[in-house]
Parts: sequence; C-alpha cells; structure tokens
Amino acid sequence: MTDTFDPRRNTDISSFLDQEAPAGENTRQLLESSFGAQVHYRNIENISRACQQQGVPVGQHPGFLDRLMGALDGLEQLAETEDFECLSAWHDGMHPIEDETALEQGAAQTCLQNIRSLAQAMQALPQMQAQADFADIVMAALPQDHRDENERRLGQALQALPQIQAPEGFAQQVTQAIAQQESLAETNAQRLTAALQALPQPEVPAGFAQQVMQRIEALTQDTHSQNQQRLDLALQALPQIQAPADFAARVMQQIDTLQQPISAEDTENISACLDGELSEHESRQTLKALQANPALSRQHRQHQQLSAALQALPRPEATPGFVAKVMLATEQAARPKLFALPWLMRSRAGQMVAGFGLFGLLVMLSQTLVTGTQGPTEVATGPQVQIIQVEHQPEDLLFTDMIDMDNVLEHVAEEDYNLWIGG
Amino acid sequence: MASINVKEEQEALIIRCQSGDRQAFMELVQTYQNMVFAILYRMLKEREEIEDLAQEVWVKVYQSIRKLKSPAAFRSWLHRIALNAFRDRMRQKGNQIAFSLDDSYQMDNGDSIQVEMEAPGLLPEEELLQTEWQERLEAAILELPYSHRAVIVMREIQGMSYDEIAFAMDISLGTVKSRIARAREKLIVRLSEYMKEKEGSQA
Repeated sequence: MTDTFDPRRNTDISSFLDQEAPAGENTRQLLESSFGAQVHYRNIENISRACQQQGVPVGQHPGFLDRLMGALDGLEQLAETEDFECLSAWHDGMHPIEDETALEQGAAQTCLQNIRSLAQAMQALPQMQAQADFADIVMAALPQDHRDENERRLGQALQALPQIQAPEGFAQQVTQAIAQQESLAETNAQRLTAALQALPQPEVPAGFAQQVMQRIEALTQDTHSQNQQRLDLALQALPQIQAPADFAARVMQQIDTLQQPISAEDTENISACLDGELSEHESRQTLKALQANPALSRQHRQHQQLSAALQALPRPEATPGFVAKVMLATEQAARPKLFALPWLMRSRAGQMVAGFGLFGLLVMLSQTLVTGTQGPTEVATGPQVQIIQVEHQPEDLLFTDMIDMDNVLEHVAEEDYNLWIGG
Repeated sequence: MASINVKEEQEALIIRCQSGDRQAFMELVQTYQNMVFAILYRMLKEREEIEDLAQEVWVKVYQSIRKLKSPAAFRSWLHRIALNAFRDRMRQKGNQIAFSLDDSYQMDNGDSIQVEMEAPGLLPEEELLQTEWQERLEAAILELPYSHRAVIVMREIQGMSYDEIAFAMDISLGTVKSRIARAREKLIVRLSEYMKEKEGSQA
C-alpha cells in the first residue's frame, strides 16, 4: 500500500493539533492509516513542544508552525532531488545554471518552489535569538527513526536560510568608516593636546627656578639650616591665627613707643608745662612733642593724675591754741639765758671772765645795799655787760614790752645773737 | 584786684612785724600757720613732732623777720626757714630719720646716712578707699629724697611757683624744674601699679 499522504496539502492535522478545528473523519482516517501523516503529526507535536520549552511564542504568530512544518515536509520530499544543492545554490545566486528553462519543469520546479517557500517561511519567522542548542533540542524532539535524516535536512535548511547580504561596498564603507574613526581619533588626540596646551598656564615668577635652587642649596648646607627651613615650612603650614582688627595698629603704637624714647628734657618740659612754668614757645614745642610721642603723652597723663592726687591730699591744720604757744615761745626765746650761754663756759678764758663778771655783780650788789638804788654801771665791755644790764631790768618791763627787749638785743653782736637763738 | 589788695595787706602785715608789732606777728602766725604745718606734715614722718617743729619755725621767723629784705618773698622765706628747721632736726636725729631706699642724706661732716625702708606694698583689692590711696601717696612722698620731697610738696601741696621754690631752697630754676620732674617720675614709678588699678577701676 502506497502512502499517499502529502503534508504540503494538508493543514487539518496542524489545525487539529492546535485545537483550532475539530478533527474530521478524514483526518482521523489519515492519521490511522498513513505513516507519513503520523510522522507529520508527531513532528508538529514535537516541534510545538520544543517551541514551548524554548519559550517561543508560537501562538502569537499564526501559521508559523504550518509554514515551518510545510518547509520541513517539503524538504523531506525534496530529499530525493539530486539537484537540490544546485538549485539551492542557484537560488542564492551562488551557482549558475546554463539552461534555466529546466527549472520550470518537473521536480526541479517543485524543489525550487520549496526553496522559495522555505525562504519565505524563514523570512517570515519572528526574529528571535534562539539558544545555542536550539537545533539540538528540536532534533531531540523529533522521532528517533528519522532523526539522522531530519538532522541532515535541518542542517541543509539552516544552510539554505537566507544569508544576510551586506550591501555593495559595505566592506569598503566599513573600512572607510574605520579609517575615518582612526583619523578622527588622531584628530581628537591632536585637538585634545592642543586644548591642553591652550589651558591657562600658572604664572611662574621670574627667577623662581633660581630661588628654588638656592633654597635647595641652602637646605643642604647644614642640619641647622635644614631644621630651620623645615620649621619655617611647618609654621607656614600651621593654621593662621586670625589677629584682631586693630592688632597691627596696636603693634605700631608699641613700635612707635619703642622708637621714641623719652628724654629727661622731655619729662622736665611736660612737668613744667603742667605747672604753667614754660614760656609760650616752650609750651607749643612741648605740646607738639606730646602729640608726636604716645609714650610722652602717656607720661603727661600720669603727671596730671599724680598732680591731681597730690593736690587733693588733705591739708593738715594747726592745732588749737598754736598761735598762743608760738607767742609764748617767742617771748621765752627772746629772754637771754645767761647761764645757758655755752660760749661763756667753753674756754678757760671764758670761765675766768664769767668769774670776774660774777664777782663784779656781787660787788655791785653790795654797793647797792650800802649806797641805795642806782643805775647799773658798766664794769666791763662786751656782750656780757649788756646782758647784765638786761638782767637788771624790772621783770614786768622785760615781759610786757618785747620791743624794748629787742632794742637791747640790737646792741648784741650778730654772731652772738645767732648763737643764742641756735640758728 | 582783690588778690593785689590781699598781697599788699600781707606785705603791710610783714612790715609791721618787722617793726616789732607783736599783734601783727600774731596775725601773721594765724595766716600762715597751716602752711607751715602742711610743709612739715609732708616732710616729717614723725607726725607727733610737727607741732614742736612748727613752733620752732615760728620762733625763728620772729627772731629773723627783720632780716627779710623783700616782704613779697615772705612765703618762700617762710618755707626756707621751715626746711632749714627740718634739716636741723634731721641732723639732730641722725640716722633715726628715714630716707628713701635710693637716697642718702649728706651730713655736714661728710657722712651719709643710708636707711633701709620697706618698699610700699601694693594693695590687691580693686576698690580701695580714697583714704587708702592718700595714705599710699603720702607714704610715697615720705620715701622721696629730701630734695625731691621738698620741691614736690612746695609745688603741689603749697602751690608755690618755681621762682618761690628756687628762693626757698636757694637753688636755680633749672634745678627746681629738674627736681620736680624727677620727683614726679619717682612717685609715678612707686605708685605705678596702684595708679593702673585706680585708672582701671575708674574706666
């Protein structure tokens, strides 16, 4: 019995498998009687399963399986065509055929149609990236009986798949593009270099290199110098302390003070100026000096402060009755002190004179007692005679009228007077 | 005009004293007794001796007033007598008289007296009473050398002019000027710390 099943003309099995159409009586009979139909059925079933395993969305592309199976079935039929490879190569433009009219006849025509159909079917396949072992999986899903044959056919089919034809001159364009890219890269490198060179260069002060060399030489002179330099660098690297705003001014004031020492003459002038003892010209000069010299100005303020304090000191007053005491003292001082005269007793001659004086006094007193009251008589010359006269004045006269006493004392030699008063 | 009249009255009073008018002399003592007390108070450390020394001064004035040629210079002359009396008293007391640390008193016989005294201590309290400040100032005055003490007292306490001071101490005007300046400097140095405190407390 010859199997007349032609899968290219039967789509019922596919629809049956897709459960898109109920299986008709003919399909059932065909599947029961025809080995080719059974193979076709299994092929569809296996390929469908393989697609599902690979996640190929077969259902989203209606007719995909049909076209695929049709292509496979066609290949199966064309397997007996001897000129298949030639036709495939001719189809791909790789094998010229002298008499192309033969292609329109018999099996060659069918084979060529199959090739075209396959090409169309393959082109219609959704472009997906299959796994590397997709073919193996598909082949493993096929019935083992026809595996080798199917594998061969699949290999041929894959080879027959339309190769991506690069446009004419593509390689040249690519080469030119690469060359252009290389050229651009070179150009970019040049531009980058130029841009870098065009960047603003930091200003190096004149003689910088020389200074650096000098510092290096200085650093290598000796350890002390090195340490000093390191210390300077370390100090410079320290966080700079923020000085108060008036720090510089205060420093300058201090410097001014140091630079302008105060002379003794300056001090005397500001002191005298404070007392109003300078002439107008001297006062002007002193005021100028005060304005120019902060230290002198400070000293002037101190003098003022001191002067005010001195003048504010309490003034002691004389004790009560002091005037009376003075008046009494003057009276007592005005009374000559005969026996207290130190000059009289200092020398032997003085003692003799005093002795004679005392003797004369006694003689005088005795005469007075004998002859009655009479005025004093000069018994000798010199100050002691005057004293004797004073001593004989009435007491009330002596202490009531000091002018008389002074008149008496006026006759006394000045040096003796000084001795008396102790001056 | 009033001051001229006062001056004339004072001169007339002195002339009367020179003529031996005891009543005038009494008025003179009454007028100038406080001045003598003031100069002696600042010069003499032993305050109990002030009255005695002042009395001695007035006795000398009484005895010597006729020698005063210019009554207008009486004030200076009075101070000269007071200072001489003070110096005589110092001579009598010898080394009992206190002098400053850096000064020596030249005796008539050429000996010098050097007496140590304690330097004035500084009071740490910020708020010192005025009396304490005055005591410190008075102590500093007493520690001055005699020559400086005399001129600064006559100038600042007695209010005398440089001419009067020169007459009273029988020195030149330049010396007066120099001594007053130096006396002030010494006082400022000795009171410097306290003056700073005082200035700071007033600021």
